[in-house]
Amino acid sequence: MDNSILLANNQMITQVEGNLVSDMDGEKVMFSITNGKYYNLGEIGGVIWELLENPHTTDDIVMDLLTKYEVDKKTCEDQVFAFISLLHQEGLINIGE
Amino acid sequence: DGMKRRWENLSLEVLDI
Repeated sequence: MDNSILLANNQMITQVEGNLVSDMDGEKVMFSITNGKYYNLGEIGGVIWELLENPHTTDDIVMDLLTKYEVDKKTCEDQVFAFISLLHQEGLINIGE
Repeated sequence: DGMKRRWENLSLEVLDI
């Protein structure tokens, strides 16, 4: 199955319901009731996950992270896109218009 | 700038439990 996605900067992204989330030593750990897997999102992944409680675009996420972390925009964009793609492949987020 | 935290590469770790 091809799980690749074409993600645009202005597409709205939200969490899929049905995940149990906990903070462990500063990192966000999650259990998906849907697929029975445990995930460690890490610290910054946890920040992204919290943002996705409400619909956000990747641009929103990148801008938020740039204000909080020492990182250049290109690196941040590349990693956010890759991370969002992984979340989508695992069925943890919805990507809409 | 003085308030920014250190960046750590994003990753999604699937835990084998």
